[in-house]
Amino acid sequence: MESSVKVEKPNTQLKVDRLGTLDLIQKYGMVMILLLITIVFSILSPNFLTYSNIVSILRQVSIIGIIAAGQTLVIITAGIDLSVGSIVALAGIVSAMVALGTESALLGITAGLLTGTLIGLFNGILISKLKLTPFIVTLASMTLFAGFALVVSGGNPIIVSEPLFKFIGQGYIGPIPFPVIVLMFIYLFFFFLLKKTVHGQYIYSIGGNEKATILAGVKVDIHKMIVYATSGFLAALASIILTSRLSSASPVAGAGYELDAIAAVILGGTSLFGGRGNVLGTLIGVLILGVLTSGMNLINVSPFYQNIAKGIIVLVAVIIDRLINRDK
Amino acid sequence: MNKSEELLLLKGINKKFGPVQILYDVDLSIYKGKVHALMGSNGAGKSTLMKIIAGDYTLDSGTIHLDNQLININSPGEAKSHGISVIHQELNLVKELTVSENIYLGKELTIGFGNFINSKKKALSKTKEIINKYNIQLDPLKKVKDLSIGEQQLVEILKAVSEESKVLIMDEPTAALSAEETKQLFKVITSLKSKGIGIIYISHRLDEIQEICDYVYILRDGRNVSEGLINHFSNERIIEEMVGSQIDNIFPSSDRKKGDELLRVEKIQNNILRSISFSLYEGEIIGIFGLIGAGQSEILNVLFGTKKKADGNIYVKNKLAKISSPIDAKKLGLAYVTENRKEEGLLLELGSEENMVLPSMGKFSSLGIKKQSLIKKVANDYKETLKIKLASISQPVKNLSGGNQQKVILGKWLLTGPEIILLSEPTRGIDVGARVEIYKLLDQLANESRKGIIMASSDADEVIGVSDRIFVVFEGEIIAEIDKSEATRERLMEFASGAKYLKEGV
Ligand SMILES: Nc1ncnc2c1ncn2[C@@H]1O[C@H](COP(=O)(O)OP(=O)(O)OP(=O)(O)O)[C@@H](O)[C@H]1O
Ligand SMILES: [Mg+2]
Repeated sequence: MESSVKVEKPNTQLKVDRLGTLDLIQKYGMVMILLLITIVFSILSPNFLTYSNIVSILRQVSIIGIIAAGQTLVIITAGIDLSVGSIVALAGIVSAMVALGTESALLGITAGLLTGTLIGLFNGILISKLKLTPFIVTLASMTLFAGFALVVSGGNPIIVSEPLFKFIGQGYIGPIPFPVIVLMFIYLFFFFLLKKTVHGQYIYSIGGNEKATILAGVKVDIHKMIVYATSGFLAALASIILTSRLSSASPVAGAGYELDAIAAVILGGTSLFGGRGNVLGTLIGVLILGVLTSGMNLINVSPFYQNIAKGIIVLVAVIIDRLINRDK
Repeated sequence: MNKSEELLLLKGINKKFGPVQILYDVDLSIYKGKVHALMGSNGAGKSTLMKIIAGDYTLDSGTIHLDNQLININSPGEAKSHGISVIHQELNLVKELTVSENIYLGKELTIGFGNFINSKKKALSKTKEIINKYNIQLDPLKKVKDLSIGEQQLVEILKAVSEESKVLIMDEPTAALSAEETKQLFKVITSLKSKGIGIIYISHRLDEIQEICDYVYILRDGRNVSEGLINHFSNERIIEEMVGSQIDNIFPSSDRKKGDELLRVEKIQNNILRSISFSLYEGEIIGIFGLIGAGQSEILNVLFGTKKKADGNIYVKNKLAKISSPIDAKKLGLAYVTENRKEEGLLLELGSEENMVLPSMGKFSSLGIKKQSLIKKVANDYKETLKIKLASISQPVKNLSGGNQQKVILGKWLLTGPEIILLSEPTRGIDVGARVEIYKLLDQLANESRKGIIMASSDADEVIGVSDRIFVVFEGEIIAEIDKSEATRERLMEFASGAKYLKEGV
């Protein structure tokens, strides 16, 4: 049989949504989880859904939130930054010491931010120029700079009570705490950066296929260094907010923050393999963790169980991610 | 063919991805001991259909019968248990494992108490058996990462034949094979045929289809358009049915005039290359021909700064050029269409839009901010010019068919507005229709836009059809320069295999 059925080309050019349906499910899936736990806690505790508690949650998450924004960029490039917790410790100590020594909050803050940025740059240079793996480099600097924080401070917390310094972590603009404003600004800024700028485009490209990006004549090394420096800068910024809120810098502050930040990024749907993700997802992830912590505190769950609950949530999210990607 | 010999019968297969329907009521019958060509343009749905049989995708509607029994295939494991093996278009090997470990991956041969111990020795001797049986040159103890792409392809084939298969699917198995390796493969296929295995063979190389296949199926836009015994299908007819119209000249025959010198290479050397010297002129296409691994892509790698040269000079427009990275090369007006799409060419998770503008972000941004609407417009223009078949320019390129992926890479480099274009195996895996368009495009770029083009390819006909001059590379050296008018397939092969070289002692 030799049929030659000549059929006209069907119109298969239907528009597929820019995000793809699966991405949407995943994104909204996390929003659903956030809503769900919010509803559960509001039922369990009448104090949960009050204005003051919401503001307090936002203020609490601002620190991890700011760190997680930087971590998102790093993870999209298929890297990881384990040193952010130690940066929180060291940058806090440095800024407190400089602020005390010079009696200038501004100088203190600048010194702290500079410390974080330089550590990030240090990571970035080792990773891009010496082609070391991000995990190893940042693991080493995590230990290294945690040690620095202890040495520089002599192991003691440093009290700062300078008013300007205090404002950063404790002040309000109108009814909104200043750290929350910083958090919102950071997320808007990085949302814009990833979506609209060339640097943002390269961040996705590097994570998606570094070799192809190099072959496209992109200065991959420089963009990677910027990403790690950004992560360091944001960790330092978070550290200054923390120091200001507690009116003191502790050499052991920030321990474990890297894990919370990474968890938030993963909850937000950013792929650990790189090339995929966004900061809005991370913000949802941060809020999920924040709502969980606050809610469990309100209903007096013991911290031991809190960890278990958080662990389960992260696992569930990763499983959802896996299931969705298997279908792709 | 004889109904009783029927092995696998697909009826009314439909498949959608999201809202886009890819396959419409496709039928396919596979017979024992026959090789069935599955032909169709890029994106026609060949791989999708095969992935349904292989259990990678599930069908929306339709039936599959194997040996007259209705079967369901919901996973690769189920396909395997029905005796269906696949050699995918993309290689699926574990690079850090050896040849024999890869062949027995997932079906390790065990010994000892409770069959607890993985006997690599047993796997090794079995592998040697198979290698000898099909007369293949391959070291079973080598790690896959140390093999050439062609050899890796052979490992895939051995992996499939080491199973007791009834149906064997080969999705463009020869796309990366040298002529010699292709011959080896055909020997393997012939012996599989004699064992009664039904083979589905996908390729864009028509002469292969004529040589090895018994029966042809042609798909167009996801529908059956034609089928029959191979001797009823001339190349012209196959092309016509695939494309839907006739194609007269595969190669354009414009009269190109050489202009000024664009590029001059003087005595380039490194661990692979030996004293390479030549010049490239405006409006000229140079073809570099050689067996896989002879060094033809190394020349391009050095020119584009992805490999280092130990010695020698490169001049771009008569100026000494220092090219130590792709960044330098791009600044000097070079573009490089690499041969390895997935590893070097594409950002698989991103859309073709983002892929295409990647090297020219400078042009598509101001003060570091992307000009989104310009990018969209240009990407859409290139999609039209290159006739890239896709649902939307932001659809991740990993979901495009192989040929369309290649066009995205071409588009990406054309967008940089290069003066010198380097291409390595530019039409690998590309259908005839698209191939003709690419040849036309190359001709236009040289003839009208006055670009200089260097194309490395292991397809002799393509090299002869497209180039003005042909360099044959053998063991890292240009051993012959042949003018288009004097080039024949035989001459190229003779030089490339070293026969001529050794004989004449040039
Ligand atoms: N997972 C997927 N999601 C969405 N679309 C897909 C997916 N896989 C394939 N497609 C689309 O289905 C169509 C058919 O693709 P397929 O890979 O089957 O083509 P093909 O005939 O094998 O082409 P080629 O000769 O280029 O390999 C293409 O338009 C492709 O973009
Ligand atoms: Mg295919």
